[in-house]
Amino acid sequence: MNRDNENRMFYKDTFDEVHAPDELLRKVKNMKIGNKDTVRRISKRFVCAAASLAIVGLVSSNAIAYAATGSTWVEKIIVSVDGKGYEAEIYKSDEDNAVYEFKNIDDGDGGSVGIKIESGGDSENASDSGSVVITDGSTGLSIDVEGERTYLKSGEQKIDITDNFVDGKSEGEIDIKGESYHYVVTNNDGVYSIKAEKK
Amino acid sequence: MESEEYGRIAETYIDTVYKVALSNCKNSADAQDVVQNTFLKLLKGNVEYKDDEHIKRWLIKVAVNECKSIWKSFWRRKVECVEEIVDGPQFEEEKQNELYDVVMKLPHKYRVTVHLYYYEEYSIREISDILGIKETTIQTRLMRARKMLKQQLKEAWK
Repeated sequence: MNRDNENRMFYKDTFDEVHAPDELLRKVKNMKIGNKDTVRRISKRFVCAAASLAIVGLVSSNAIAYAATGSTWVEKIIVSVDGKGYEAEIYKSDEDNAVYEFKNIDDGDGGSVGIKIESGGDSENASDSGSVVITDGSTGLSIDVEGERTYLKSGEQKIDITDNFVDGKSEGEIDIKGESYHYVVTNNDGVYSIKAEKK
Repeated sequence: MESEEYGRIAETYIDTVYKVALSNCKNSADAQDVVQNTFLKLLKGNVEYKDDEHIKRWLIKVAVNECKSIWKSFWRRKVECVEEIVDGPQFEEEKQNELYDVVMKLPHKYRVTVHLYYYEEYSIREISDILGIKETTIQTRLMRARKMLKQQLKEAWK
């Protein structure tokens, strides 16, 4: 047997032991066209990892004021889950080992849509809703998804940004309370993050 | 596509697609997303195929493109910086663990080439066709990957 064949046997023996999880096969076999869960699917882990980064961006932004309470930062933001906005608090318990946690997010039906986020992307009680929007509470900007169109809203003002997305990002200018802001909206698989800075 | 035929293809090739995705994405969660997206495209598209080998290559091509989408995404580029990859499989033999670890540490563009060559046993020309990359590039990638594997695995890699 030549060296390349020996290496091939070694490689094949190793990867022969790797298999798709049974649960994945079940999901794939049960997929159906038009099934919302199939077409619009968000990994919990991915939502949380994305969310944590969005918050890192927000917390590091000068546009946001935070209150230092001992070693813990507390920040209020607005989290929208499937179009409904909830005020939430973020706790950053340790600067070097960041832990962010949305707390007490009432879903309006007596339940909770709490999301706990750690820097590694681990999560507990993560939301797996179809659309999660993270923005800061100070600008009041929000995302409205109507059919296949996506709108950025500020009060009564509504901008259609659907065709403006390039590589998952849309940016432009918007007036907020008479002042001009530069906004950046990112979207990945239904997870929206909004950042706005005064020009 | 008839659901019976779809089910047969899913059962036959899910491991193939998962392994290609895993060798590309490095972690099981992303690989599972890629597998689902790939089979969703099979389900939604009107894919015409001559035989099983044809559909297998189609699935591999789609999976590789799905992996590229993940690598290109804004969030993935950022998430990769903070996320430790810790969910690899455990093998019975230590040398297999070593091989897996070393393969996963290869530059990402080499991994899928190595996998298609050593596991799927495709020729350089076939890999070139599947990945849409020049044969000379595939040869270079394989040569460099072999060198890295040899450096890391020493005697275990001939």
